[in-house]
Amino acid sequence: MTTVPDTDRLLARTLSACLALVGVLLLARGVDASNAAVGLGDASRDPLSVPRWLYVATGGATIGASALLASFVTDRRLVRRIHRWSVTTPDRATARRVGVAAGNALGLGLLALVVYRGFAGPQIPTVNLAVVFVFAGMRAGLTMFAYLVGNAWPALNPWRAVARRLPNGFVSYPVRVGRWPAVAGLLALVWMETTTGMTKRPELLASVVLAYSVLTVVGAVVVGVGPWFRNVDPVSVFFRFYGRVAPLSWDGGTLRLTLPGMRLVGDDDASEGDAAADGVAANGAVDGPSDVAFAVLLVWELTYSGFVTTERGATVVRALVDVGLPPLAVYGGLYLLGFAAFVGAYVLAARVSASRLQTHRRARELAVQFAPPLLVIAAGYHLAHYLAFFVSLTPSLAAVLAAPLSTPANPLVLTLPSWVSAANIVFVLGGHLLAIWVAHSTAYRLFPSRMQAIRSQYPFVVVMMGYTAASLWLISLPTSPPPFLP
Amino acid sequence: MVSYFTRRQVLGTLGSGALAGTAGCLGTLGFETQSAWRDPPLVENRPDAVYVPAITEGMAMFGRTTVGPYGVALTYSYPHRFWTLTGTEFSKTVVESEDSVHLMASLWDAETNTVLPVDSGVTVEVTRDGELVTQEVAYPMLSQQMGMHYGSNYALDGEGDYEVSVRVGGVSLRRTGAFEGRFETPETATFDVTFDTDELYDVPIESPENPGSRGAIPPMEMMGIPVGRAPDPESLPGDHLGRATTGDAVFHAFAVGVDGGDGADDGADEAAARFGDDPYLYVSARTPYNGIVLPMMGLSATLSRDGETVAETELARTLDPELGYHYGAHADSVEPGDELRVAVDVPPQVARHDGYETAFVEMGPTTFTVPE
Amino acid sequence: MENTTTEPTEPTEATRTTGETTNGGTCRVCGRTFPETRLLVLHRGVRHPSVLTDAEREAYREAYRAEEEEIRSFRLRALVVLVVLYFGFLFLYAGFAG
Repeated sequence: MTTVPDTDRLLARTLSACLALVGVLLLARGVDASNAAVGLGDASRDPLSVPRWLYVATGGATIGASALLASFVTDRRLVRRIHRWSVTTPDRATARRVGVAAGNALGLGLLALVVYRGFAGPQIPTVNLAVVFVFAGMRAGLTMFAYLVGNAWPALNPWRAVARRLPNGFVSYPVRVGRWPAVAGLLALVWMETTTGMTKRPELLASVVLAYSVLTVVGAVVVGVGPWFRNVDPVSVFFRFYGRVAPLSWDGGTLRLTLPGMRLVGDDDASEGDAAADGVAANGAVDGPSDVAFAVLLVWELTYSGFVTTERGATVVRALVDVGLPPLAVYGGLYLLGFAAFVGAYVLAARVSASRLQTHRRARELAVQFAPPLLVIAAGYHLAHYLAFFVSLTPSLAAVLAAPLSTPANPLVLTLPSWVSAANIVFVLGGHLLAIWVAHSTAYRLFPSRMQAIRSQYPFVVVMMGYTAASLWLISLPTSPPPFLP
Repeated sequence: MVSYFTRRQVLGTLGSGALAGTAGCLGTLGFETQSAWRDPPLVENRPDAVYVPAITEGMAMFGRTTVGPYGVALTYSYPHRFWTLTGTEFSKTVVESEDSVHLMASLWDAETNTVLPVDSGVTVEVTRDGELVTQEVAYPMLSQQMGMHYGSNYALDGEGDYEVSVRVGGVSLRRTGAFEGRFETPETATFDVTFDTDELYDVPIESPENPGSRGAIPPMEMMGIPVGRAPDPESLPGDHLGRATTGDAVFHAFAVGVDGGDGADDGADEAAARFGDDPYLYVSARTPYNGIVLPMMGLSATLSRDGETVAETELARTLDPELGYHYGAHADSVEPGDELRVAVDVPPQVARHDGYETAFVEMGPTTFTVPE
Repeated sequence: MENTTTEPTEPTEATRTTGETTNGGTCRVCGRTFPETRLLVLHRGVRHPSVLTDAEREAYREAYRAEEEEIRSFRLRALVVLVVLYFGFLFLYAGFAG
């Protein structure tokens, strides 16, 4: 085996340090600009000190520069060592069983409370357990836990707990369908969240949760618990995909700790042909076009819900409605066309990459193999959009969970200091930077030639720069409630 | 970040008491606890007049009683913000984190059902098992639904039983007629109440159809609690000099005992007898849509005849069983054709709820002519 | 998709002579195909280091070194781009900030 020259290794390490330094410098510039630009609606809001185009361009340039810097690291063994590093605990099978049982009980209890309080509790969203728990606790809190620590949803999933104890699996799930039902399901759920006002009406939310529970349990009983929750249930697939980013995971019966995002790079030793036949993704997360669509949807739904809640978005919607289109058609059109655009950009990057490289790997395969970094990007966006929301609602969440059957008299929230807006920029950029590294490691896994690996990245980096610019621009805009919606 | 979440999971089981312990840590990071209802968004482009607010809250009653000459009722609603006026400067009182409820006291004369505006307000004291929970002045305030009442936000100590004492310190206004000598002594009305958040949340809360438009939500007529409607101008004694609007308030001016007047108004002779030989000029001020009395103003009047000023006087705040709450003064003589110019020196110093905080502050003078 | 044959096949004409032809070939260990011989050589060295013949190992070392040259020149160009980016943005901020 060829030994990598020591100078190479030294160079790699020095340049990695430079990456951190330059990244911080660029970030610091960007942070100053956006700190002034974003503000949180306080009276003491600083005026914009840098033009918005410059702030957005800085974000895009940071990503491009980081990609270039990452490509300085060409030591295959170093790259492999980073994504393979792990620590495992001794076998904890009993602890796991107990934990799962406790999680099942907790999940069922919370589901019952959500439905009960949604119908019986006060119809004011800020004090109703159903609304606060579903949106602050689950949509924000549990998701953040899923990608920052580990996916706890399979233990908490009440529908799985019920369906598992019933006879199930009467119809075999067609493998060719893949996870497309989950994609459609997530599209539907986010659409409902945006347009039906179920974030403000506890009774509506409780009815939706009840209907969803019935549908899920029936579906799981028909198709089988495993296939249903792995392929069809959008909530489970949502948490599963986000959970791939997290450092903690169950490996057999043991708990394994890896570096964040590194499980997305996949296993070098497995020959992709064998892995695909087993149905286990070689790259550890994504193994088909429906998965690619789901990963892009995770990124898109955050961008879309971010866009329609800004003043600029509201202006666009009003302008389109003035032209004569019905409001729901405007929202739906933006939603679906935007999703198609995001998927299209990504697929185009894969095609450009495949056609310009000397490889027998097809564009479709490249699209699948390079999709896991999208999950890291989605995690960064989610943190940027939801962390402040979650933290500010923590007192309300604590109040409704501490006394679930009674109502707090005066719902409390935490005010957000001004540095939170800067933190959001860091999260968006951080997600992209980690994604660059995951893509870099993946490219090294896929291609024998290092230059080929580097060159394969260019189209994807361009797409990532576009996503970054769009996301940074969005989080710098002032917010306003979306027009024409309940 | 990970350690914070772990702590949060622990906090969830410990309850909100433990949250107070970490508030200090979060405080150093720049996070502060505040009420989600602290300062709800106002209607955009509020007119400088009475307008329909964005959110209207109902109320529920704790109790109603009679003590001395007073009728007192205690009602409650969600904690909400209000504006207090000092001179012409508004200051907003927002909902604080500790506030649990908005307590309101209505005060009226048990015999005539006339609402009694007291400049200094009433004091509301809340105790539990003899221990003081909170004690605060309930400001005189004006709201479209509650009319003229006294209220403020109060911080209670969770759900349960309390004793609420409403202390009226006596009315120091000028009182005339049957009201003379009444309302001298301070009285306290005590209510035993049970604070239950589920009942609080049964109180209706709505978004009216036309927020921001000029108009008002009609007052909530509740279980015999008078809201303080000003008397019908048709029924007021004296010559009706006219109706004018200033700062969206409605002024009706009257003169009793006009020299050479036709004396056709009802009770003119009676009123003339009561007010003595000198003519009496008075203004009855009320809100434009609900007709609630507008107290605590400083009005001055100038009477001129043929271009020359005959009398300049302040119109004193007076409470009278027939005239209601009015601003009046004696004049040496009032003849038909005289011009009465009423200037607002001090706008109504009463606190306002949403819908009234842009009206009754910039109030220009109005002129009335004594009819032939 | 690529051939997935599990038994090793006879090395083809192209793979015996490294660096001379770029016809590509099929890896005798895992069956993956490559459009260029150079890539096949690198693939063998990276993926199947324990089953290489001496000739294959030598070919890999040569290809690796040749690639090093390419990588060095890429790094130089990338460094130039980074410096231009950095100073470019520095001037933009000096001009527009404040």
